[in-house]
Amino acid sequence: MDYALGDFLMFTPEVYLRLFERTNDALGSWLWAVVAVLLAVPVLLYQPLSWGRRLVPVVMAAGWGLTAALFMMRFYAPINWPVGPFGWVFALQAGLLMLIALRAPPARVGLIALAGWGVVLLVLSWVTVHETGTWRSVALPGVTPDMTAAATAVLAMAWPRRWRWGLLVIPLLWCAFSALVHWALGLWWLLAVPVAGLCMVLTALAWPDRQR
Amino acid sequence: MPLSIPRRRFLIGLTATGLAARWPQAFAGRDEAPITRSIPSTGEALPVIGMGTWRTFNVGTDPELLDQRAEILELFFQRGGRVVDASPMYGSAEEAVGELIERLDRRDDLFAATKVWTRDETETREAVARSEALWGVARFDLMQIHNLLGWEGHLATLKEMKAAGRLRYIGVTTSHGRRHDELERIMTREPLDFVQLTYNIADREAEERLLPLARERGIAVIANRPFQGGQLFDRVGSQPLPAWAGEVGAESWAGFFLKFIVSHPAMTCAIPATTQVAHMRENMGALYGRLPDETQRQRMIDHVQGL
Ligand SMILES: NC(=O)c1ccc[n+]([C@@H]2O[C@H](COP(=O)([O-])OP(=O)(O)OC[C@H]3O[C@@H](n4cnc5c(N)ncnc54)[C@H](OP(=O)(O)O)[C@@H]3O)[C@@H](O)[C@H]2O)c1
Repeated sequence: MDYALGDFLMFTPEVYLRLFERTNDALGSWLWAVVAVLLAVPVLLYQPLSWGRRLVPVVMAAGWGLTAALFMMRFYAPINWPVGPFGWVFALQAGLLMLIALRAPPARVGLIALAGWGVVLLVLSWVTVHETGTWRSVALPGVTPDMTAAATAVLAMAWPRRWRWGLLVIPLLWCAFSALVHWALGLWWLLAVPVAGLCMVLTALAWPDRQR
Repeated sequence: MPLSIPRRRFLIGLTATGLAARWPQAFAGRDEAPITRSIPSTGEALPVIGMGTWRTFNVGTDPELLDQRAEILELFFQRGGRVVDASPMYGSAEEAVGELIERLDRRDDLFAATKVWTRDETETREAVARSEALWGVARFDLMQIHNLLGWEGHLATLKEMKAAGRLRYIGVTTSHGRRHDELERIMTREPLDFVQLTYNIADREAEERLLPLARERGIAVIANRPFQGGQLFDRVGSQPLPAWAGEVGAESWAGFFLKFIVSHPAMTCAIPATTQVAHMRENMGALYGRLPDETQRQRMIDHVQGL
């Protein structure tokens, strides 16, 4: 008699998938505000003026904070106790992003790169919908942890490489943890999200600095 | 606050089924009484099918899932179940069980079994108090030490608490066949009322030494992972029950597996876990009817091995 990875999981896929719907329900019409802010991020990144781009890490910090407070602490931690400490780590990442907002604005990003990454994130957001059959479980960056980590990896590329490690350690750890959880739950489609997050983090870490 | 529909439905259901619910065999539509076994240390009778909560009752604060689990728990009691097993390790399961027992008004029917699960051997009393608050019980029927974690310190305190009337029974648990040697030593030396271990038709290691020892020492035995965590169903797949299943009192594969377990003479109770009402109905079917004898048990083993 041997332990399987699933023997260490304390909850069923059904309970996990409900977290997405419950988080969106709790946000109610604020969810539209989140969508509006997400749409504003590429516009800000395209700004030639640095003050606009400086808002991006502030928005990201707000997303990490919201994810920590709602999805992680309120809904996920009661069913999976390691997530409680992770919630505090997410709050730490929010603090880190606020520091970066004060120190260095992200570089201006080209339209094609923005559109490409936007499509990837959009597709990943809908994987939960595919799994549950209801759009109410859509996983938005800034609301759900895997998507927040994946989006952070994309945005980190707008900073010089030496900043990226500091920005991406927590997303890396989270995506690895989350991939294990999805594996143990047997949620193969949804596993694509943290795995894509991991790939994005590694890509961002390896991506060369832009020549100015 | 107005009652939510499912809650109202439970209350109506509770009143309507009022009397029948307290006489499970009448509800079951059979003349037979539920199969029970005595706890050796006191002679108190327990129904041989209880209920586990690992994974299945860890639903957090999800109102929809709590309502669905309430249906499962209500069916469990209606069909004559009593033993509910949980642990602080199971996330929000203790909290869910506590809330639902109160909602269903089933405290008097419940045999509440949980565990101490902390490395800190001086924290036993606090751990018990925390679980009491979550379950909403004044004292536990059974307090077990989860996976023997910090067992020496915890057991000393649990013995004191039992002597002072703060607990009714005490025990220890293991699973997956782990630490059987240590469990055997504890069973030999310590005055335990219960042990909980993994026993099912595919995992029968406990038959060698632990089950005979439990009989010899007068220790009640709870079988965890009765379906091998669900893997037994994967093993049988869509194969039909053998034609002779009725002779061993089995109407479903769940019944087949559970009847095998509880027909062992050392066994007190098996605690299958489920998230589905239909599965609970099948599982509780094993609380009634015939049990296989020794020859039939061997036939059951041979059949499953041949699949
Ligand atoms: N160390 C310890 O103290 C320890 C260790 C392990 C277990 N335990 C206790 O023992 C309890 C039982 O063990 P377990 O939960 O690991 O595993 P189990 O009861 O052997 O199996 C549970 C699985 O069987 C499925 N199932 C249940 N009834 C079924 C039916 N009639 N037909 C088809 N599938 C059915 C369930 O799925 P559905 O939800 O779909 O029904 C679930 O996936 C635990 O809940 C826990 O309380 C204690």
